[in-house]
Amino acid sequence: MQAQQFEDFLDTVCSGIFSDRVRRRTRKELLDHLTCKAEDAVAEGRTESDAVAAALQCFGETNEVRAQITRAHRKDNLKTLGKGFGRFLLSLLATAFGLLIQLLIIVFGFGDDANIVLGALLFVVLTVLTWYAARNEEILLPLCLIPAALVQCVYVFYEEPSFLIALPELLSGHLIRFLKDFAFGVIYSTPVAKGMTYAFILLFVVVNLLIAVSSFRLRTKRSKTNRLDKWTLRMSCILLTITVSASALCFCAVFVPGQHFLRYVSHYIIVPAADEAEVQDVLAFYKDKAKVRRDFTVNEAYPTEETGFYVYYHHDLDSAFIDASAVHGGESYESDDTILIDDSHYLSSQDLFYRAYKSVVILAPEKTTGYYVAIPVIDDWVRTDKAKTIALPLKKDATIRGNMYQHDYEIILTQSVDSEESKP
Amino acid sequence: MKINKELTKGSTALLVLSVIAKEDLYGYQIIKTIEKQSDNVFSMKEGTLYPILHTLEADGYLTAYWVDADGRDRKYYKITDKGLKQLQEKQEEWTAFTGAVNKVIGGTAYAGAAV
Repeated sequence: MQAQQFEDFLDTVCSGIFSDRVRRRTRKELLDHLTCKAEDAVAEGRTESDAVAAALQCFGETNEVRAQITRAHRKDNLKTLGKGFGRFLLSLLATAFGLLIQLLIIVFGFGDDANIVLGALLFVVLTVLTWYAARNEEILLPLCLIPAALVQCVYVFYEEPSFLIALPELLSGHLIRFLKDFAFGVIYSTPVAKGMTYAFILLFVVVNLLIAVSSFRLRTKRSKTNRLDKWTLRMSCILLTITVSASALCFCAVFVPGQHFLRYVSHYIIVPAADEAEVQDVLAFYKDKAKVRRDFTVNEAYPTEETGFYVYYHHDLDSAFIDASAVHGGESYESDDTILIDDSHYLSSQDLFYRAYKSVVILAPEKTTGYYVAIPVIDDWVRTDKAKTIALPLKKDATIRGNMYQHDYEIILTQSVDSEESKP
Repeated sequence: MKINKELTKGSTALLVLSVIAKEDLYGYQIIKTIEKQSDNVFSMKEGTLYPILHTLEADGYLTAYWVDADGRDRKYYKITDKGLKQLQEKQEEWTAFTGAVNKVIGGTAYAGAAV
């Protein structure tokens, strides 16, 4: 005898039991009782529907039975919630540990390829761990995977460009390129790929949050107390995830060099140009290079016969450090706050890398003509949209003062040149 | 004879432990047995029995095992050592309680007669 009334009754009276296993067993036990009772009633000559009604009546008022059964399983319920929360914490800890390892790998710089491979391995390991932690009946898996996914985000913060830069190119559609890069493990190496990665992670997090919320099936339709328990757990998990994620991001922001939201101008590429047309050529040249960063290896000199001042460059933006040198005939000096590019002064890559967020002063010879284009480099990413042109015929000294946090800089004129004196 | 619910309230667990101490039983059987042994004085509601059984099981006074009965899974309860100790304590408590009640009732009757 499997009356629908029995099923409905059991659904209600067992709805306060959180553990699937215990709830199934309790249902089975009560169903057996109801069936015995109904069978006896039928044997006594009652109709089946009467027998079912009588069996249900014996249990008393449904909500009262439900409340009593829920009360009897209070310990079980707390244990179930505790276990679920414990698994959740375990997965968070595992993820945090993985994140720490990745950060150490990045900070100590074992190389991009190693990072990617190790990152992928860690991601797999952590996913398995979180799966294991959450695989049982009280499924918190989607939430557990969020911090695991965050481990992968480290690359995004480590590399460039920022999402806002990447987004337009992403929207212009480079999916195949991204997938190809991703397949070959060359992730995050282009603006498009990085943009896709941002979008992917964002989507992943949103989808997981939605699944997480919906995966908690609300079995306690009538009990405010139990609903509160479940929602307390849900909110705790969500808040904890947000807290840990935010902490991880802050950690990245502080400790990982080159993180996009605290990026600073590491140095300026100063390119001489004879006239305005050449200025545009220079900008176009660097803009083009910025788009294909992986192929960006420049080893060119820009002698400026017109100005008598030339800047020599050797950039390999794929390498960890940027080798940039500036050469100019004449005297050189520097202070704590400024790096001077003047006669015969060479700026090593180390100088530029560590000190370029200070001021760079260009001392132009008095008889120079033409322009200098100052292109800020944020970490290893050229920002031609922030480039400024210095018109040397009008100025003698110009200071470029970079703001390391706002990706911006200003050009300060320190001395005007008399227009008569500046003419050759 | 109808018994006031308030009177049986505190003794339900004692009744359940007592019948299970004699033999392993399942829920339906427990109700039947109690009814039979009390000459239908105690008619326990199923909605009362199962929470008690589950609480006793959670507290370790009972254990349970499943038996296949005509294609249906049936849960049998068995008393544990801890349950036996508890039963003994409850019985002593009950004996003391009923003895005291009897004395008082008897005393009242005697006092009433003397007046």
